[in-house]
Amino acid sequence: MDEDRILTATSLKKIYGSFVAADVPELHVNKGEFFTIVGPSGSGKSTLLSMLTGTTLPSSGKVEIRGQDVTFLPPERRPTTMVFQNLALFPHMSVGQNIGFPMDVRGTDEAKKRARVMSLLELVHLPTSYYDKAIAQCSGGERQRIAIARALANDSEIIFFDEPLSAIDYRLRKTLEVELMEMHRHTGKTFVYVTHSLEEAMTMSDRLTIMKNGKIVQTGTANDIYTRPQNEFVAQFLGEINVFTVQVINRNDRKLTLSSTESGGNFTAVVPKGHEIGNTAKLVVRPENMRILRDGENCDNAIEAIVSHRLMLGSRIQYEAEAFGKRLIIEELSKVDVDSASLAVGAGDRIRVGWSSDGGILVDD
Amino acid sequence: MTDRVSHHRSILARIPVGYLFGLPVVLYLLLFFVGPLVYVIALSFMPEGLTGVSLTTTIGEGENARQVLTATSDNYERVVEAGYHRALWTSIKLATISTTILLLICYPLAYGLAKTFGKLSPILTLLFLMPLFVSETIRLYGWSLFFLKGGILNGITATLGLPFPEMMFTTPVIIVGLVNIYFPFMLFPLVDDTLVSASRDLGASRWQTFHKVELPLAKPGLVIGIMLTFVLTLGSMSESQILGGQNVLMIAHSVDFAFSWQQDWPLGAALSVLLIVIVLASMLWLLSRVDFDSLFRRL
Repeated sequence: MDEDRILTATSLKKIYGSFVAADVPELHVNKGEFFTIVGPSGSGKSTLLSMLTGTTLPSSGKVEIRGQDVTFLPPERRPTTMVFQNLALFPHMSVGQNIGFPMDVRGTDEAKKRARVMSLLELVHLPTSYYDKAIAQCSGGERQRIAIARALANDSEIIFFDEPLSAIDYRLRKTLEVELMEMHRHTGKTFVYVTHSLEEAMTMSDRLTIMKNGKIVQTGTANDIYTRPQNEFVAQFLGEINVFTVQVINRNDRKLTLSSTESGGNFTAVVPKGHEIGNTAKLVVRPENMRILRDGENCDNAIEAIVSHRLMLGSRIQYEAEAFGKRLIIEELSKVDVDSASLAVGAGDRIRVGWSSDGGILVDD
Repeated sequence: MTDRVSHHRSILARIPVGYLFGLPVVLYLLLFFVGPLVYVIALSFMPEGLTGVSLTTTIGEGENARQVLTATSDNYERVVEAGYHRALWTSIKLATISTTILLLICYPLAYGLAKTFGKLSPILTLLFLMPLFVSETIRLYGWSLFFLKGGILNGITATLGLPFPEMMFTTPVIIVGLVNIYFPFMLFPLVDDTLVSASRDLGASRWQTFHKVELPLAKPGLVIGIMLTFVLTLGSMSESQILGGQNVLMIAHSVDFAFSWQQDWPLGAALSVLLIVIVLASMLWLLSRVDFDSLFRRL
C-alpha cells in the first residue's frame, strides 16, 4: 500500500433495496491532503461520506485508515473528527467549553486545556476574549470557526467536513474558504470535505472527486478537471458550456477532424489521447474560448449564428446566439480597447463565431 | 357633549393598549384566584365552628361588650395535635416516590420512542396517550379490579399456582395508580441527535455524553415535568381513596373530609394553606436550581 495514502475505500457500496446510493470501486485520500467530494444533491456524496466516517455501514466493501480496516468501527473509534453541517455546537456551553470539550472528556488539566483553547481561538481568527462567550451570542461565521477549532482540538488525523459553509452568505463564505485553506496548511491535517458547490471545491482542494448518481465521475486536481473534463456532466458542472455532437472522421496524430451531426459541417480538435475514427463524442467549447470573428477573419472552427442577447457582466460581455437551432454562449473580456467589431454587435445581428482547435475539449458521449 | 366624549377618549388613549387587553385576565385572576386564596388564608385563622370569615367578635354583654380580633392560630395547632401532619407527610412521600419513578421510566421510554421502536413509535405513543381519554376515576377502578381479591392479578397468580399478593389498600398500589395517572405529565426532551454524535465523535463516553450534553440540555424540560407531576400527585385524592381505602390518608383527602364531613372549615383551610405553602416552597427551590437564562439563550 502506498505510504502516502491515509484513507482508502475499496469496492464500497451502499444499496437501499434496489437503489444504489453509492458505488465507489476505488477512492483514496493522501496524508495531509485537502480532498473534496463534490456533487449535486442525490449524487451519493453524503452516503459516501457517512461510510467514510462510520455513521452508515456499507452494503459491501472496505474502508481503511492507514492500512487498518475500520469498515465496521463506529465514528468515535476512528481517528477522525467530523464537522457537522449544522455544526452541532453545544448550546449550553461557552465557546471555550465547546472547544475544550475533547480535552475535557479526556481529563486534561484545566491550565493546559485553557492554553490550548486560546491557541486554537487564535488559529481560527477569534479573539481570546471569546473564551467565556455564549454560543448563542456568536454570529454564523464565528460559529463555523468555533466548530472547526473544536474539531482541531480533538487532534485526530483526518477531519471530515459535511457542507459546513452551505448556510453562509457568499462573501463570508469566500473569507472562510481562504481561512480553511490556511488552517489546513497550518495544521498539516488531512481534510476531507463534502460540498455541492464546485466553486468551493475547486478553490480549496488539492484534489477533488465529482459524483453523480452514486458513482464517481472524475477525480483529480482542480486544473485536471477544468482542462480535461471526462464527460459532458463534469464540463456542464463547471458552468455554462457549448456542446456539439460529433463523429471522428479523420485522425492525424493528436489532431482530429470531426463531423458535426447537427450542422453537417466539420470541426477540428486537438486531443491528448484516445478517440478512434468512427467514434461519436461531444465537443465542449467553453464560452470564454469562443469569440466573434471579424469580417474575413480566419479561424480553425467557425460557424454562423444570430445574436439573441447581449449581456454586460462587468469584467466580461456575454453573447447569447443561435446557430442551427442551438443556443450558443460566447464570452469576451470587456476591455477599454475592445475592438469595435464586437462592441457593435447586438441582438438580431448575424455573426460568425470561431474557436481554435485547442479551444475545444472532446469528451465521451 | 362632544367635549366629554373626547375627554373620555383621551383617558382611555393614555392607557397602554397592552394593559387594556390584559384587563380581563387580571379581573378574572383577582376574582377567581387571588380572592378565594385570600379567603382561605383568612378562614384558616378563624376559630373552630365558623363557616365564614369575620374579622372581629363581640365579647361580653351590655356595657362590657367589646370588639376583639377573631384571628387565632388554633387550627394550625390542631393540625399537629390531631395528627393531620401525618397525612401531609404521606402525601409528600408518595408524591416524591411517584415523581422519581416517572423520572426513571421516562428517559428510556423517550429514548426508545425516538430511536429504537422506529415505525412502532406512533402506535406506542397513541397507546400511552389513550388512557388520557378515559376518566381518571374509571381508570382507578380498573386498577382496583386488577388488584382485588378475585381480580385479574389473582387470576394470573392462581393460574401460575402462586400465592395471591394482598396488595389492595396498600401504599404500593396507590403509587401504581399515581404513576399511571400522572404519566403523561412527565416528559424527557431528547437532545438533537447530531449533538450526541458530535460528543461521541469528540471522544466522550456514553456516560460523559449523557451527563455533559444530554442531561443539561434536557434539564429545563425535566424540571417542568417534575414540577407538574409533583404538584399534581401532592394534591391528588382519588388514587388514595379508591386504591387506598381508609388505610392510606393523603392530605387532599383530609382537606375534603374537614370541609364536608366534619364541617370544620377553618381546619380544612389551615390544611389547604399548609399544602399551598409546601408546594410553593418546593417549586421555588426547584426553580432556583435551573438556569433559565441558559434556557432562553438557546441557539
